[in-house]
Amino acid sequence: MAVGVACDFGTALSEGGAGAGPALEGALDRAQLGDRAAFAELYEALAGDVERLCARLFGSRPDAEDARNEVFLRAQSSFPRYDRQRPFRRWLLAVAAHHCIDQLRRRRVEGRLFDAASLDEEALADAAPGPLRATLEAEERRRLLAELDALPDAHRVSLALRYFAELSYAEIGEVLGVSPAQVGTLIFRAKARLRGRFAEGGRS
Amino acid sequence: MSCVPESTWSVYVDGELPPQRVREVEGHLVGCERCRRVVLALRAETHLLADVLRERPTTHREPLVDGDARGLLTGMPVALAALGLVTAVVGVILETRLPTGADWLAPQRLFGVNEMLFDLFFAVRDRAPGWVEFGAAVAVTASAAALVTFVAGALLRRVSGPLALGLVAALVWPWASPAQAALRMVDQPEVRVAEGETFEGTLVASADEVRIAGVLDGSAVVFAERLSIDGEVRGNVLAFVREIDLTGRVTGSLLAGTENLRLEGEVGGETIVGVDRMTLTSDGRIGGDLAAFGETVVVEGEVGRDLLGLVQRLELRGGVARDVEVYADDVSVLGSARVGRDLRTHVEDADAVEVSADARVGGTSETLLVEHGHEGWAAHFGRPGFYLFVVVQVVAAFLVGLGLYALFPRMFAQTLPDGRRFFAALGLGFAAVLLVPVALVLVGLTIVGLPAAILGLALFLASLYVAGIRVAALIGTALLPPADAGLRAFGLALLVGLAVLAVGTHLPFVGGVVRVVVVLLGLGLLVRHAQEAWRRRPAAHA
Repeated sequence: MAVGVACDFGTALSEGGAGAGPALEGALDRAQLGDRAAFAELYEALAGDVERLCARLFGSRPDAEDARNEVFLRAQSSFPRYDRQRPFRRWLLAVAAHHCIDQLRRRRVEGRLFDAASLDEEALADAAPGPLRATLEAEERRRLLAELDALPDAHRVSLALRYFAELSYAEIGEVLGVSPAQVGTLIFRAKARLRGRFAEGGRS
Repeated sequence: MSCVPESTWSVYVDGELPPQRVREVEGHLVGCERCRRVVLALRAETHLLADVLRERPTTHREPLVDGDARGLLTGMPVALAALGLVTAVVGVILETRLPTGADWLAPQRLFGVNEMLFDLFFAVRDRAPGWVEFGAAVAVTASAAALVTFVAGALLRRVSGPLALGLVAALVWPWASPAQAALRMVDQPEVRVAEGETFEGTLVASADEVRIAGVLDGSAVVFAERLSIDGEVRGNVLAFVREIDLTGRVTGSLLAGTENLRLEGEVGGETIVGVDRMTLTSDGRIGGDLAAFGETVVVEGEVGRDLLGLVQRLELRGGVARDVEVYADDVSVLGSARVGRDLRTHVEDADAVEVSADARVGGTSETLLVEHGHEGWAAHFGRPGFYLFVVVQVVAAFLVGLGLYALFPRMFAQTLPDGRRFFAALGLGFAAVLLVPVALVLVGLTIVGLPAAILGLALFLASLYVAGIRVAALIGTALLPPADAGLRAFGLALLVGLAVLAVGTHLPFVGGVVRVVVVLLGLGLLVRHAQEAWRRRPAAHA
């Protein structure tokens, strides 16, 4: 049965605490006892992901490097509220997402882009082509990434948060300030838009 | 049952459908070949997206530098023409012997500058007691804080947190060391260390008159109209004082900006002064070097080591144990003068040097003429060494530029799309060139600010150098827009820009003007970058 094709990408890192081996589990224990060095160690292990997420959220602008430092400080100060039940990577990336969205909002007038109202206005893109093929040539992948970066903020952000940060709809909704159901719509619409643009670019 | 819409399958694949809905749609899935295909395709797409999103962002970065430098085209000719005109006018003024009344117009005359500075300083001090000192203290604190913040920011970006914090702590520690505790600040109309009295520690005095008749067991930092030292200072003296009268003894060095310095006593160490008129009387003695910048310097006493002068007039009657090197309009070495080693004078006119036949010079005595382009404007183009020098310069600038790009790529992100922004940057650069040295001097005047001022000066000089590289990068990226943000593409553009600049700044006649415009422009761009970086500094944390 089709349902059996498990969708398990990234679970190695996202499930069960820090989920990246006993070394980081230990660091997580120490960090929760207030060991700042341990927290820094934890952060270093995932800083690459943080930077990449920020780059994606910013649409690959070079601000991502600054974000790495700023997210560290933010994460450090909100770490006492971290719930061990939640995978550390997801928690950290959610913090990073909060930070980046704040930055995007501050920099643009498009803050309303994430408003619930504007999400419902747009009609569903029915005529969009079907899902993208799983295998792409290197050149096509590059183009797809460029299209991803060029998507409107709300679309780009929702895709990055779902498929790179692997946040749940609820978590994404919390970051963007919309309901989980709206996140589902947003993601579906983002994918449709991406397909459309990718197909268009391929023809020209 | 009609088919489930794709939007629902999208949520289903993301594992976000409520459990009862999952049972419903999975029931449909068993019987619907079409929907199974949709689900499989959505899963595959999900994998693809996750995969592509995980790729390193660097390889796909858009070029940082979009090379929009049209402002150069509109602004550069105007700036060059204007500055060329100014240079020509100033040149003419420099060359002409002005009537005495208009002498102050000649920019190379220091005449009156010291006096004006003092007047300004004391006027401010009189009107607002304490504010000068307060301002200096704020400037020092602010510059130290800015410096530490900058260093910390630059490090935190590259280095792991704890290490950076350690480094910052190591940087800050010496500043906060308890050594400063001995510092005493005195601010009153008259400060006096009476005869027979001993003052221990550093004396920081801001007063109308400071008189040290007793013993100061430490250094003195003095801002005053008048400073007289009849007693003894067992340390250094740093003074910004209109009149200095030294009949006593300073065991350390004397560093002073002053209008009138009369040295009848003894300075154990170096004496470095910016002065309108200085007299080292026949009883006066300086243990170390004497370096004097100013107008008239008369040496009747003894200088223990070298004498270096950048003055209008030097009169040497006394003894200098080692070399005398002086750049002056007018030099007299009288019969009573003794120079231990060489006497070298640099003047424009050989007649301006008068060395008495009775003066004793241990080494050689020579007069060098300061040349003003007598060689001809194109002579250096004939020397191979010149080209080698230019190549070395370009290579050095290229390496520095690459390093900067690797460390601070955004430094090169500014563009100049129109003439307005060109002139804005030029004006900013001009303001920086004028204001930064003034600010540094103000900071350096307080002794605690001295390290910050020196560091600031180093940074300032470095930024003057980087300014040229910055403009080269702008020109290069305009001519040869880099394909991506990689080091290779940028390097190529930088090299092109540097080559263009190397030619431009060595053009006969206009080369010098081009250089000035380039440095001002580059400095302006750097300042703008700094402004933006400051605006984007990390916000308060949640």
